[in-house]
Amino acid sequence: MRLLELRERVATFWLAPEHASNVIAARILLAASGLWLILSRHDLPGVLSLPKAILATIPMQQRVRFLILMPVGIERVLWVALHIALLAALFGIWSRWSCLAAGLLLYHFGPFETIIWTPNPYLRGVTIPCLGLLIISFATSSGDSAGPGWALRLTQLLFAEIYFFAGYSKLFAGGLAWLGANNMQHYLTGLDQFLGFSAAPTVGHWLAQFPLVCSTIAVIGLVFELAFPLVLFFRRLRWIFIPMAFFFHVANWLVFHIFFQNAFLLLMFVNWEWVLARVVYARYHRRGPKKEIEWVNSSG
Amino acid sequence: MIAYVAFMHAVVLLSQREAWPFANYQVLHGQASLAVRIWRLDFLGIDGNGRSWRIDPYAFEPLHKLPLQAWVRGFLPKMPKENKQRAMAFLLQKAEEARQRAAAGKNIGYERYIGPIAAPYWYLLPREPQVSSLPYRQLKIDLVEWTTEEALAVPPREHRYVLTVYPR
Repeated sequence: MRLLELRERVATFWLAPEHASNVIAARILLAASGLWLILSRHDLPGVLSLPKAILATIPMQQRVRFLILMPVGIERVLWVALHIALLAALFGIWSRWSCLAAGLLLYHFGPFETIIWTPNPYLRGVTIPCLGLLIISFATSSGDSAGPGWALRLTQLLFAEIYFFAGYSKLFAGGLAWLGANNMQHYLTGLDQFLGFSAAPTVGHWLAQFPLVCSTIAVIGLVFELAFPLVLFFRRLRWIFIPMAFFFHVANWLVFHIFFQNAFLLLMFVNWEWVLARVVYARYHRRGPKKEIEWVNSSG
Repeated sequence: MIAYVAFMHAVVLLSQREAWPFANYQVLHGQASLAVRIWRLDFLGIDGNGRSWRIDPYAFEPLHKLPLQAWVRGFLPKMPKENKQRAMAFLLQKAEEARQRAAAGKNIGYERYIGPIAAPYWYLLPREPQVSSLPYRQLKIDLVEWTTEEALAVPPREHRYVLTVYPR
């Protein structure tokens, strides 16, 4: 009985209808985010014009996995195609196919940035646009009005995993000792030095002097990361967690020198249907009386 | 699709391994220590006057400095001399191209096309706004090592070794 109930709840979560405007907003945000990133990466296909001495150190298995097998000229054509596909996805032109092409090309080009050392470009901004656009391309093919709901929720789940997985990996690798003031103090100073910011005073270096502040940063950060997926199930919590997430990323930028390129994708959790309804309502009330006066004047 | 994505993420989460685009998002995990040896590479351009200049971390685009320094430390010392020289010649050429752009007041790196609204990389790195007005004749790569304890000492201590210079 309980198993059946659980199954029903899971089905209700995934298959609940979703307002089309929320799915469209997610598509626009994912495409805009992908476009912003690739416009910020100069000549990524140019990696393939590196000297053979460097390219030879990339294992063939990795090149096959990401289809990095074509000559640089063809890669440059595909790079242009990626821009076009993202623009088309942004404006909803042949949504299904443009999202599919953009997602596949992001999968192909994503690892270029790090391929000489690692084929895993996670936390470099491409992961969620790549998977999100692929998922949305499948959803837009269903033709069912409730269909895209699962795609939005799956993309939101992938996004929430960024926080949850980061929190889990801290506990997995460091245990509860990760929360200690010493650990955070060492991270703050070590990261400053590793990235080369140690020449001038930084916020992180200053904060490292206060053990209680360091411990508080660790506890609040970890609790926030582990609790973030709650926004998937309790929509009201979004009013707290989404602004908190923006603050979290600004603080990470100032203290840890970490820039989270996907911060704008937090807007996927906004109920755009509600926002649009408010805007239309406000416009109606602003324009309504004016139209009435015009009508009275013209009829008079 | 939901089941596939859930399965792949469960695997990367539990195994703590990478299978991009399915990622385990490890960030600042593990125990940081004062005694752990930290290292970085300093890429220096030496101009016609023999003065050395720190090269901007984004000068080697499309390569980013952090994967590049890992590659240099991991592969360059093991390479045959001829391959090593080719790789170094390429890096020197990239550094010189970026120097010319920066000296002419043009954007380099991720800011090249859309300027200050461009997306930086995950880890922000300090920029090098000053560049030589003379072409770089040589590329020097220094290995710098230290522990946090050493860096916090007064005066701070670090160990600097010349990894390679091209051309000699």
